[in-house]
Order: sequence, then structure tokens, then C-alpha cells
Amino acid sequence: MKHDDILGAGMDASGVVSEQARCEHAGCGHADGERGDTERGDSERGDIFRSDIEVGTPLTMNRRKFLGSTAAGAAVIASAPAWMPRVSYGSSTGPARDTLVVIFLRGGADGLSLCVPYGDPELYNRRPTIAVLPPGSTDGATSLDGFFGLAPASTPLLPAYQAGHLAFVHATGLSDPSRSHFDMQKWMEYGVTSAQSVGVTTGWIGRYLQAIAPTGAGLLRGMGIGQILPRSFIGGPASLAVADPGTFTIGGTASTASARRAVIAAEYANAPDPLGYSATNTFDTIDLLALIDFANYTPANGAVYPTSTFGQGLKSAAALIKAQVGVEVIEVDVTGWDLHSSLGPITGSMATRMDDLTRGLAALHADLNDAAQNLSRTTVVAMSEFGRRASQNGSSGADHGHGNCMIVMGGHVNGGQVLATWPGLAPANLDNGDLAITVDYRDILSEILADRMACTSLGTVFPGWAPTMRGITS
Amino acid sequence: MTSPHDEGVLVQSVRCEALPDPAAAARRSFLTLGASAAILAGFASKLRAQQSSTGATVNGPRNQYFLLDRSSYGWTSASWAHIQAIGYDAFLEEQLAFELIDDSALNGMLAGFPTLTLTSKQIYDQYVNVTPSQQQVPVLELEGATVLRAALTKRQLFERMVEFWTDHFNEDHSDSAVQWLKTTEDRDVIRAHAMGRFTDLLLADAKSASMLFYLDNYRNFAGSPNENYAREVMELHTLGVGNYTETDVQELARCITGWQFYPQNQPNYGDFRFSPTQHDNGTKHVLGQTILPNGVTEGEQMLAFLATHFVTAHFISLKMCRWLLSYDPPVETVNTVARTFLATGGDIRATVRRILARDTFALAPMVLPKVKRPFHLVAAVVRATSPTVTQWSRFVSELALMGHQPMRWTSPDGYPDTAEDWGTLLLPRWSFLAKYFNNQVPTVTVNVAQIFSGIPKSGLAAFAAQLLNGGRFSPDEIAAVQGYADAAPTLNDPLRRDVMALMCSTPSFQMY
Repeated sequence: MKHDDILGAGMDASGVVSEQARCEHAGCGHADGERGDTERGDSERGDIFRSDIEVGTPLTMNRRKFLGSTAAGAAVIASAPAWMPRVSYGSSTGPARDTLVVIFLRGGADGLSLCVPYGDPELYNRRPTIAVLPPGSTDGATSLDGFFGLAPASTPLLPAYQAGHLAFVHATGLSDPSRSHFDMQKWMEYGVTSAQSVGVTTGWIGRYLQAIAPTGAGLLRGMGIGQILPRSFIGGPASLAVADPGTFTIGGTASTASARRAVIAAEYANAPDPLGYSATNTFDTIDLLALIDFANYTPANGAVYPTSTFGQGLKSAAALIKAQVGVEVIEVDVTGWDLHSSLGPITGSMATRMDDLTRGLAALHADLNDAAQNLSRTTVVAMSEFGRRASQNGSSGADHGHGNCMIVMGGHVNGGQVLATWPGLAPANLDNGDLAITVDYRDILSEILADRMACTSLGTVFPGWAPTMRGITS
Repeated sequence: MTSPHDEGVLVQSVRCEALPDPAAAARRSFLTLGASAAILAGFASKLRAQQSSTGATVNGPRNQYFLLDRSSYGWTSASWAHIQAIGYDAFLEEQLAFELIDDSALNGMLAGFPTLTLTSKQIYDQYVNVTPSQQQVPVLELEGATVLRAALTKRQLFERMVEFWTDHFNEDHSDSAVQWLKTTEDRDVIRAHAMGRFTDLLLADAKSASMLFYLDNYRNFAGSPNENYAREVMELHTLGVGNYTETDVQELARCITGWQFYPQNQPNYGDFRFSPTQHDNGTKHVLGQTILPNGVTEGEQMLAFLATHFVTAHFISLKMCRWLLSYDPPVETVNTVARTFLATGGDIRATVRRILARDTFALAPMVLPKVKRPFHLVAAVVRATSPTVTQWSRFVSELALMGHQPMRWTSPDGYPDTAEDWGTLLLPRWSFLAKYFNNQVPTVTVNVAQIFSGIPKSGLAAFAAQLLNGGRFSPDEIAAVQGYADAAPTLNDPLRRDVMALMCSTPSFQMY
């Protein structure tokens, strides 16, 4: 229980909070009034960091072991490529479903450059010098549908778009008035608006995974390729941040690694949680990832991923998808989109970011569009916390805005379209100076989860949201 | 200054937003996966029974361990001998009166970080506005010095509070101008007021160029306000979320329009500057207060009002108790601390004393362990093993691999301080420790032969345990490591390195 969230309720003028006031909040489940009673069995008190242990004590506690052994359900795959795992994990207990790849563009990516509404003449009134020009102009856009187009730096997406595997959604986002990165990333990862956030303490991916049986042994169901697990995974089982799946192994001298691992495993055998279950997660993930030879992974169709962290993260994601080791949701984040000055959609910062993003997506598309049709069991969705202000600012950049675009890619995406109810960029049509939102991003995610991820608990994943299916998947 | 209206708003908004706690949710969800909380609670109760039978007293060694763990970046035999010699109370007072502690050895080493003493103008002219290769020098010096200070300062408690306030007033050091403006903020705001008055700290921070830049208040103008800072100063720095309205955010933003800093072409680049022509001269209403037009004073008065508000007192006290005591401090303790904060007008030193004093501790004698953040782990290992270090910034790269590069949390809430965030990232820690003891962190050399001088193979684990934290490991942990040593054919440096790395990798050493 976060005390700071309820301060004020029942606090007297000297700053003292009464027990009664602290406990009267319905449904919060906190236990301050019962502090010290270690026998009460409240699950929130179940780990050592919330239990009463005197300082200076060696910490040895029974640890829960809720993950199956690595060998469970393993089956030999015949005639697989050399980089593929030697074993595959047990078959799905539920309906066949996609692997979901989530890409979060952190910092507020400019949707008016990512998917340019050149058909709206107001774009050029709002942004006299930083808008991508219409098709036919120097450095002009490439038309997608006669109204929207791609900046030169984003044209690597054209093959996937033209193949019907990639769609844009525009004037989308989370319908929350905040313009704060901090708030909006949090609420988008929680899957709620600020106003709906009461009682929501987990991420939408975490709730999705929690409510559905694993497709495999459940050793590693969610992976954030990065240093810290994204908040969208909070509450999810068997989810771990992995900075580089290809080097996720015990460090130090190789000849002693196995013996040292055994010592560490013994050290953590009785460790309190979260250290205890995290050690188990870690060893399981080491074993799982060791089955895949990431270094020698060869993308299909000559696909070349960018050498950036993002590009290499996508490459690892592709290897995981093809290996079918039971990883169900993978998130790869890209930072650097907060371009308050010198946006540069043609030759500047935005162009560099778009080049990296779109070449990465194009490589993933080509790589998964292989003989085994991995694309047909993958859905990729890219989003950002908000778009940028419709009007350029005094330093050729754009400040925090609202509506934005999303990119959805996969074998069962209704691609080759820009799905939008365009609100327009005339001043009267803006939302507090920004592109309005006409499609909530939860509609898109809901449809992907229901259609491609066998989700039957949308009300849990996006509480308080009744989605309108927009026809983004087939 | 607290009107009935004010309190009414507070209570109402509090009730609407009282819930989200991702950490608690993560606990719950993990526990539903088959946890037996009753077993754990049983263990806790058993441990407690064992301890009471050992007769721990308020003045006993357990509480001296407690004070060392909580007021420093890690146990050393020297600090242990010192606290045993002078006692709990004198040790605490010594650390609180940090100005009187001779830190000349550290200061001598800091001379190797010349940018730390420069003005923002000097840093900009000498490092930023020249060749690109120089631009990272002030960044790496500040972050590297942060590791050096945590590891080697004798003013350990002061440094712990510097880390606390650095997160509380977080700025992303990689965010364009923050790269070269943060050096002066770290020195003239955080370090200048880390044990001073909270009001002074808040005001100095609000007027620092790096914060004005990072949270955009320098672009907050009459008629075109930017509410970024106005929101975060209430949400993150003072009241806490839910204790103000959107109208309060807008109105507070109006109070601090025209707050800027001198530009790069001025000799006092980065100094605070108030621009009357860009200030909103209307009347404002914030948190029940009516603020009449009064230039820069409006914002100064509102920040002082926020700094000493009783809700702020509780918010800051709770956060400080979480930092210095445990993740879930007793309500009674937090209330006691909040009263001290209020009674002293936000005196940080008095508040820290209240938190760590023996009689506060007596109120709640059970203090629960926390997970060391990677920065803390690195400092603790360095303190215990005294490596030779040529470039302290090398540790910065290692911390990046552990997700905890100093001053690099991108959003304004600062690095988290929860067991769930840090206790779930174990492999990067184990990998760092293996690298560190195998001298694979460039320019860092650990002399294990010297550390283990005269220690036989059969005594390696017990000796390492004593060296690292006074032997406070579980018998199982020590046995596991000694088993590894016993299985090795010969005693040599590679074995000594492995023993140290394995002992530092234990659950006990991840906690404090």
C-alpha cells in the first residue's frame, strides 16, 4: 500500500494519520492497521520485505517454486536449422495464437511525420517549415492512399504495406488529457486513463498473460528486450527484462561457469522473494535462451536489421518467434523521440529515428515472411505515449501533443490501409492545440488480443473500456 | 495558511486516487502463482522468536549494525570498530554533523575531476562548445565522481541523502542541456541543501537551470504557459499525487511564468533570471490560496507554502523513512517523523535524526531488509575490497548494464526504490561481480592475494563473509561458497576471485 496515496484522509493538523483513516479506503486491501501480525497470512505480506525480521539477521526462508523444470514437456524437433533450439516445449493448452511484439516509441513520436496527412492542407498552415511535403515535391511524401503518405525516411515500410501486411491507425492514442510523458507512458502501459486508474495496479500485458494459459511450459512468457521490464508487464507471470538475449548467461571464466552457477543456485534456494523467484526465472531463462544460437541466427529472405540496439532487439525477437520456445509477448522499446527543437523529418533527428524504426520493421517483415510463414503467427504493434503538437514551435520543433499514429504489422493484419477518422488540423478541430483522438488505442489492442491472441478477458485487460472493433485484423 | 476549503479539496481528491501501487500488485500476482504466504509468515515469526531469545537490546550490536547499514553504503571493519568505540548515539551525531568530518582524502581524489568546481558558463565554453569528444567529459566526471564519493567519503550519511534528493528531484543527465547544467545543480542545490532546510532545497531546485530546462519551466510564459514543472513539483516534489486539482496545476504554472535562466552567451549562464514581461500578472488561486500579482515573489511564496504544507511533511517523511528504514515503515514512525519535519520547519537534518535515532528505533524495533540498488551494491563492494581505480567512470558503464547508471532515469520520478524493481534483475549483478573480481572492469584492480593473505583454502568463505559485512550471511550461503572452494584442487588467485564474487552474489549481500 502506498501511504502517500491516501495521505490527507483523516490526517490531523499536525500531520498525523489515524489508523482508522488509513484503513477505511474500500477495496485497497492495505493492512496498516494490522501491521506486525505476521500470522495473518495476507498474501501482500508474503515476502520478507514486508514481514517482521529483525535487522542483522541472515535471511533464509522457504521459497516458492512455481515454475516447472526445464526438461518438462520437452520434445525433440527434427531437421531444424542449426541455430534453432534442440528441443521445443510442450504444446499449447489453449487455441493457437500469435506472438505479440510490442514496440513503444518513448518520448512522444511525431505522428504527423511518421504517417503524413499531406491531403489536409491545414498541415502546412500549422507547420510551415517542418512538414513533409506532398508527393511530387522535392523530398515529398510517398502516397499510401491519396491522403496519407510516408516521409522519404519511412519508405522501407512500403513493401509490407503493399503486401497487405502493415497498416497505420491515425488520430489514435489514449484519450487522457495529460500531456506529460510520465503520466501518459504510465497510463498507456497500465491500459487505462488517469480517471479510470483507481484500483488498476498492473500492466495490460501482465493482465493478459495472467488470465490465459501459457502456450508452452511457461518458463518465460513475457520478455522486455532492455534493462528494466516495461510497466506493461507488471503483474504478469514469468516475465523478465533481458538486455541482450544472445549474451544472457553466467559471466566470468567459462570453465567454472557451471560450478559457479550451482553455487549461486544453492545460495538462492532459500532466498526470500522476489530474489527467490527471480533467481528461478533467471536460471530458466538462461537455459531457454541457451537453446538458441543467436550469434549465428540467419534472417530469412536476406533481411538486414539495423545495427542499432532497436534493430538488434528485433532480430533477437525474430529468432525467439521462430524458435517457438513459448515466449508469448516481446517488447522492444525505442527512445529519442522527444524532439522539441529541430524536428528534421527529412534530414534531421526525426528522419534518423524513422529510418531506424522503419528499416527495423521492414527487416522483421521480410525475415518472418519465410517459408514457415512465421509472419502468419506474429502481430507487431508500435505506439507512443502521445503525438506532438500540431503547430511547430519557435525552434522548428513541436511540443507535447495528443493524437498520434500506431503501426500494426502481421500476417493477419488488414494491411495496406490507413485506418482513420481524420479529425482535421484546422484550429477549430484541434484538441487543445493538438491532433484529436478519434480511435482509442485500446480498440486496436483489444482487437489484436481478441482476434490473434485468444484473449477472452478484455474487460480485465482494459478495465472500464468497451472496445469498438475497427477491423484491423483478419 | 491552510483553509477549510483547502483541506476539503485534499481529502476529496485523495479518496479518488488512493489506489495504484504497481509493486503491491506485482507482489499479489506473483503470490497467486502458488505462494504460501502462511509459510513465509511462519518463518518470520520463527526468526523473531529466535532473536528475542538472543536478548538483543536497543544498545546491542544488532542496532549498531542497523545504523551502519542504513547510514552508509556498506559495512567496513573500520566503521564497525568506530561505532563500537563511540556508541550508537555519538556515531549518528557524528554522521549528521557531516561538515565536521575530515574528508580531505576524498577531496584530494576529486581534484582529478576538474569540471566539478566550474560554473555552467565555464563548462559550456571549455567542454561543450568545442570538439564533440570533449562534450562527455563533464558528464562522465560527475557520474564517475558520484560512484567515488559513495564508495570513499567519510560523510556516508550525507552521501546517502544526496542520492535520495538526486532521485527526488530527478533530472535525466542525458537530456541535452542537462548534460552540462547538472554539475552546478548537483553542487549548488543538492549537495548544498541535502541536510539543510527543505524549503531552501525546493526553491534552489526550482531556480536551477537544469530543472528549469528539464521540466520546461523556462518556457512557461504569460499567455502560453507550460505546466510541466508546476505539475511535477506538486506530484513528485511536495504533496504527492491526488492532493491537488488540474486547476491548481494551471494556476501554479501562472505563478511561475517568467522564471528563466541566463543564456549561453552571458557570463552568468545558468543563473536564475526573472522576466517580468513574460510573467502573468493576474490574480491566481492555488490550493485555496489567493495570490495577488507580485512578480517573482508569487512563485517563491507558493513554493515555500508547498514545502512546509502538512501533506508535504507526511509525503517527504514517508519517502525518507522508506529510504532510510524499510519499504513499509510503521505508521507511528512516519507520523512521528512528520511531526518533527513540521515542528522544525522542514529541517532535513533534524528529520534524518528523528528517523535514525535510537528512540525511534525502539518504537519499531523490527527493521526489515531492503534490496541494494546496483549503485549501492557497487559502492558496498568497493568499500569492502579497496580496489585500485584509475577511472571511476568505468563503474558508470557497469552500472548502465545493471540498469542503474547514475542520474540517467529518464522520467522525473527518479529511480524506483522497491524490492520488485531491483530484486528481479539478478543476472546483471552476478555478471558485474564476476567481472569486477576478475579485474575485467577496465582500470579497476582488486588484489585478492592481499585480501586473503594468510587465509587457507578451508577458511576462504568465512573470511570473505567477515570482510564483506561482518559475517552476516546464512550458514547455507557460507557452506555453498566454501563447498566450491573445497572442490577446487589448489588455492590460487582464480579461486579467491571466484569465492569473493560468489559471496557477493548471495541474497544476503543483495540486501541491507
